[in-house]
Amino acid sequence: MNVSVLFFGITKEKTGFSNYSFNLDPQSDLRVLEEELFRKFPKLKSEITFKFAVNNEYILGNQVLNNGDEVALIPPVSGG
Amino acid sequence: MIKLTQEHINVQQIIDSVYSNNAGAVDVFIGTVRNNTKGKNVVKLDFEAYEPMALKELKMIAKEAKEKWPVEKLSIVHAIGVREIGELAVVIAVSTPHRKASFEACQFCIDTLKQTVPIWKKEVFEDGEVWVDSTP
Repeated sequence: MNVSVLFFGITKEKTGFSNYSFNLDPQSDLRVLEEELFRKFPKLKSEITFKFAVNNEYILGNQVLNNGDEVALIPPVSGG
Repeated sequence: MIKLTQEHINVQQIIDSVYSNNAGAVDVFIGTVRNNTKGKNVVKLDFEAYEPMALKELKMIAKEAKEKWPVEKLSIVHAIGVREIGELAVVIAVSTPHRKASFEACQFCIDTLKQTVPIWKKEVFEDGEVWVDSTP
């Protein structure tokens, strides 16, 4: 299944991408995606912190992903 | 009015948007671009947003404020893109029957916005740039 990942701010800077599509096994969860992300973009693991949002909603724990989900990496916000 | 805008923010328009005959108070918060941070000169700011989620979170803040205080009308407008020194980054206006609630609701909105809304600010200096609060 395909999951689209969006990058913003420092996560965009560290990966060099604003979006990237991952092909994962069905029933994969956020931890699986996280491993793939860290493998592909090691700087995400070693240099910064971020939260996940799935389909415009913060996910604090884990969640099983579905084909077509939009996952965003949300670094510490700094609006205002 | 809840929106993100590339355009310059018009404060009067936002104040007008919350006027209500039932309100005796309008409180306005204006966030502006400061020319320094931690002793360094800032040249400008560049705001980026995850727009659909930022709008959703802003609407949640407005909804929560309306649950906590007797809000007549509430508007939040946040800048995206480049803003020079002295320009407006965010404007929040809240109308309520009496002043205390408008102060409190407005403060709640800006404090919560800074914690939850997926908007990021890049500070541009004379000799480089940095995403604010981006490193642990």
